[in-house]
Amino acid sequence: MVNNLTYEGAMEELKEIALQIDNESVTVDVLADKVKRASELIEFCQLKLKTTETEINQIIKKMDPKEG
Amino acid sequence: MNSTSLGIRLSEFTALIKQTLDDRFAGQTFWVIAEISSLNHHARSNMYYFHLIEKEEHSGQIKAEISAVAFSQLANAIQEFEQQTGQQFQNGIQVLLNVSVSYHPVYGLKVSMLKIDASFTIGQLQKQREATLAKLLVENPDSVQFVNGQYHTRNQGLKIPLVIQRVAVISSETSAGLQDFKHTVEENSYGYKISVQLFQTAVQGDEQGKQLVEKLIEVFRAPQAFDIVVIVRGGGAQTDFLMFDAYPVARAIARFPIPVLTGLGHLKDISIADLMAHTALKTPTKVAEFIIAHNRQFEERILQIRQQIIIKTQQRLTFEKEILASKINEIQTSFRILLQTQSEELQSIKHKLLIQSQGVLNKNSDSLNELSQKLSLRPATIISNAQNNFENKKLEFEQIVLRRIKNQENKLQHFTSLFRALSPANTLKRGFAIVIKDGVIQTDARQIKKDDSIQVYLGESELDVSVIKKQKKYGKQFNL
Repeated sequence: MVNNLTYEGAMEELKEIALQIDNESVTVDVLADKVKRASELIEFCQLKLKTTETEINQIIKKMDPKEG
Repeated sequence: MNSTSLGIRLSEFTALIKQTLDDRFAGQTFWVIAEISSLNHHARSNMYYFHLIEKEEHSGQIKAEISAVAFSQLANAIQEFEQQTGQQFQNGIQVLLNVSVSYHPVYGLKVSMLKIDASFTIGQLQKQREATLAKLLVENPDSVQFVNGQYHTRNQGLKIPLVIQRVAVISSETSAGLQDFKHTVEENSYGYKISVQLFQTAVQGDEQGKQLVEKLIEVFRAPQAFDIVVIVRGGGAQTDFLMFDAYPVARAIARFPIPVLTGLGHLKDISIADLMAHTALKTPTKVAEFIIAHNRQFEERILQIRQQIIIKTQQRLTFEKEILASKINEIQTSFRILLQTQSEELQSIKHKLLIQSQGVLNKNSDSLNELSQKLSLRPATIISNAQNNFENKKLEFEQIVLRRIKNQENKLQHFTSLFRALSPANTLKRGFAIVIKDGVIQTDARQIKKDDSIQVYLGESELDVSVIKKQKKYGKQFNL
């Protein structure tokens, strides 16, 4: 899910989510999903910022059982 | 050897030269324009040995060359020159030197440097720079433009990725600047991980920046992708500044497909490499700080978005809760109203029903009463009617009976008189006799045969008679 995610991609998605939430163009039902996704993206970005590429790849491997 | 007729001694000859030169040049100084070449600095004596050369403008062939020396008392002047020009006293630079001519029988002809004119070199450098910049514009119109007093290059049009984590650094490994850069990048307080790969250049002897260009090509061809390329200059005396004004380097940077950041630690003017680069910073440390700040900006941006999302979500939830509460309230109110209305309606229906049912009941009760009255009256009537009827019938019946009785009486009277008329006594009186045989009255003579004993009642007498004769008699004397 976060595999192959770039900072640019994450930022775009985050902006989109923020905009949607700002516009109130999402229903309350979807809101929770959007917030969850945003939180995942932010967490991923922060993790990626503070981790080397090799470490990131290992983490992704662990996160995605298909990759293992 | 003392062959004065054949020639003079070398020492005499060199003395003659020296004498001649002294006669011509002693006490005189000259301002000479030349390029420095074959520079050699004797650290111990703090003396500079070099050649002054002049090249053909087009072919670059040397058309004049002379040895030169700068004695240790000129070291300060040279340092000053370097500070003013921002340019090291080194091979390849154009200088205007004040020199005197000296001749030594052993060391030969030399010029001694007495003064150096910094402003000439500055001007020369400026001219050279201008020529290089003009050449860049003319020969690379697609990647270098000059608009509104500023240079725009293809490299400057590139976008630095949101986060910088893969950095190619071009520098000499011994450079103090490189150490500053690496240290600042690696020890950043935010804990950002940034991989730095060094592409090492030589310390010296790359005035035209050939190696630097090769390193750029190496970066471009590297199997791994880089977010940016950083070019740092080592700092310190051994480094070279000329290459950053060299045409090939400037061109390569301008056209390079990955953003180039420079931290050349300038002494004076900004270099052409800086002008062509995506981002030019004063020192290697500044480049490192730029990278950290760039990444920090990204993190702050996402944190800001997070904050925004949190606030908006909370607002939204509060809003929705309020709406929900108001909806609940609305529903409750309308329910209450509905309930009340329904209850009232129910009450009114109940009331109506009560009244109606009472009406119906009353009506029914009335008709029941009526009916019961009717019913209670009816039997009496029926009974009385029946009684009357009965009386009438009785009367009628009595009359019928009486009439029948009368009738019967009359009939009886008639029959009595008839029977009286017909009574055997009367009959007997009228001449008729009764014949009895064996105690049974005979009405036919067929049972009576000759010699039978029979009784005959005539009048008041009974006669025992024996039949003498029997014969058929036909007459109509008894036909009435």
